[in-house]
Amino acid sequence: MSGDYQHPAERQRRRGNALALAFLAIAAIGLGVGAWQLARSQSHDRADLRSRYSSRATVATALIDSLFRLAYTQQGQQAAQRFSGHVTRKGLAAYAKRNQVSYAAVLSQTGQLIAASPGTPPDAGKTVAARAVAKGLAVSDLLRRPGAPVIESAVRYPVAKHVRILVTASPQKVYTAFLNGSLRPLVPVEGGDAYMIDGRGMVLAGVSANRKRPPTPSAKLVKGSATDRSGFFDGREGEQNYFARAQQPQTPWRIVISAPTRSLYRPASGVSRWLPWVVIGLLGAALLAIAGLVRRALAASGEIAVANERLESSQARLRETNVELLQANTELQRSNAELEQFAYVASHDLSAPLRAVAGFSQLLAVRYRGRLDANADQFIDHMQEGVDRMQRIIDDLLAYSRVERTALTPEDVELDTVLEEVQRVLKPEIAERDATITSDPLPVVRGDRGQLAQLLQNLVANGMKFCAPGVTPHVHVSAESRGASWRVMVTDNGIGIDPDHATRVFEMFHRLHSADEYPGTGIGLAICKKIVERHGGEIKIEPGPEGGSVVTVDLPSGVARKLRLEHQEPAAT
Amino acid sequence: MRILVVEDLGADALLFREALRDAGLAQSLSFATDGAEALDKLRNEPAPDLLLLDLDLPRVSGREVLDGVRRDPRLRMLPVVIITTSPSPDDIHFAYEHHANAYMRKPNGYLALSGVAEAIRDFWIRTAILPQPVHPQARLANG
Repeated sequence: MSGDYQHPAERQRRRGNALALAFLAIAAIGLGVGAWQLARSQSHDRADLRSRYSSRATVATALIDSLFRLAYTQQGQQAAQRFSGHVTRKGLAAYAKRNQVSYAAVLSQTGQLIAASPGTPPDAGKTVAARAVAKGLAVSDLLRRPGAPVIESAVRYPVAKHVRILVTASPQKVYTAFLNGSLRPLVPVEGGDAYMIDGRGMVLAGVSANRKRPPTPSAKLVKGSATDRSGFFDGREGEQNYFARAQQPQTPWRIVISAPTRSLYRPASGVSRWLPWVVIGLLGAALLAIAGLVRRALAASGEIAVANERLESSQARLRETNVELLQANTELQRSNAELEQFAYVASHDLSAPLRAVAGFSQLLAVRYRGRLDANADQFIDHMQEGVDRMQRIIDDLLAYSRVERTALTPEDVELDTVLEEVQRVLKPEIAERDATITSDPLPVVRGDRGQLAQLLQNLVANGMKFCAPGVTPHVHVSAESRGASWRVMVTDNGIGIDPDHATRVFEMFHRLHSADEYPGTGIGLAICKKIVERHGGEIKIEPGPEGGSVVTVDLPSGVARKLRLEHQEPAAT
Repeated sequence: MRILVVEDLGADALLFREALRDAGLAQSLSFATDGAEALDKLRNEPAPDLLLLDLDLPRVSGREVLDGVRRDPRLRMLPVVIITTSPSPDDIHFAYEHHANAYMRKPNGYLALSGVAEAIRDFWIRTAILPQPVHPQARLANG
């Protein structure tokens, strides 16, 4: 066998593996690309959500800024009308009272105090005046003042060829109320908070989406620099939060809004977020399964191919066997034909020369006995004995082959009658040996009359023959019903049988004694066995109970179906 | 008396001849070794008084000889004794159907054969009265 021979199943399996692998690779690439795009789009969605959240802060600053500008522009216009000339302490006190501010002061372009309402601290407007000169408007951080903390605001107004600054201070709660209202719309997200924090980290206002009072903002939100516009921080419960910051114009303040990412990302999470992944996972699983199936299908087709191959080879073997059987059958028919040919040859071609030898040896004896010497007469006798013996062998062989060749014609056979016939045929031998043949009542059995007669004849003749010298042979034939079968027994008072040879005596040509002691061809019992076997029965020979031997023949009831022991009770009638 | 013996096997024929001679029939014997020769002799020579016929013969079988004899108006009355080895019931049936006068088996051994020869002599030659054979010319003259 060649070394690189591959079994077809192995080849198929490898092909299946390769195809499944290729399929898996392509599918995995496709799935990977899909997953990547999904991840990107989902991350994009999140960034989008964050940026939209951040823009709320920016929008809020713009809203607050515009409100501030509206309010302070009016204040500036009022100041320009009322405090453009000489500004008195009394005038400012009235202004403060009317506008419900803690105090009011007017500063020059350079920040010099021109006038102030009573209770105005000496450093009033210090942090806002310069910015107000530059920008027109400035609001301060939360300032600690005697009484309550205030927030100062400064607005620039024109006076002749220069500007003045009106500084007013309002209590924190005024701003807080205003800022809370502005921050409220910023936090629609569950768990979201919004704060206004001044430049020094003081919380000016705060609202919460689902709480009445917002929690104290985390340090990250308070201390972060203004450039740190957005980011993540861990909340108190370890939850990730997102924050965004926006600088409030004209002020050192900034708006900080925060929300748990869980809430923030809700539109891009939950079912809408994991379902695609589940689908991708399922797709992957399905692809794996398909790959497995493809592989198995290919392997199976390989196995089928192999099975087919095996089937074909077994069919081929079957055909060969069939051919062999046909040949054997032909052989058998031929051997049967040869047997018949042998029978013909034995009966015709062989007997013709034998007849010649027999004839001429007798002719010699008749014509020339006593006319040759004594040896010649003896030779002629030997010749005649040999011829006789050969004739018997041929006759027995013919009988044996006839048992084989002749079809059985089953009929009801009365063994009693058969035994009478046998005694008639054997009359010369019986007379010669002075033998006694006795029998019990015998049954009617179903079988081939001629063969059963031959069986009994051989057995009786055998029983007479193997007798010690000087003993008168006695052969007894009996029968007994053995349930489903009949047993026929032929008992003699002969020399008996060595049990060791009990089975071999039924073999063709098997003899226990020389032809001189007990003449015979060694075929008789073989014929008996053949006849019994053809009738589906069994035959055996055993030492008899009182010496001699007994041959038992069992004929199954299938053969002797209609058996009846007609003479079982002969005295009954 | 003339006896025609049809026997193909030399040994059998010789033994039979010896047996018939021992029976005292030596003067009457003539022999044919196959069916064709037998028919030829029967048709062209003076017919025998008795025909001893084997069935297994080369070329033309004993059956055909028997059939030929029984179909021949001149020979149909000829006594025919079948002496053969065949024990076949078919052969026996055929022989008597074609009016053979006896069917015997060739015995083994010279003594048995002598017995057969003596029986033939005693019955057919000494006891039975046979018809006169018809001469071939007689048939021609009559025809």
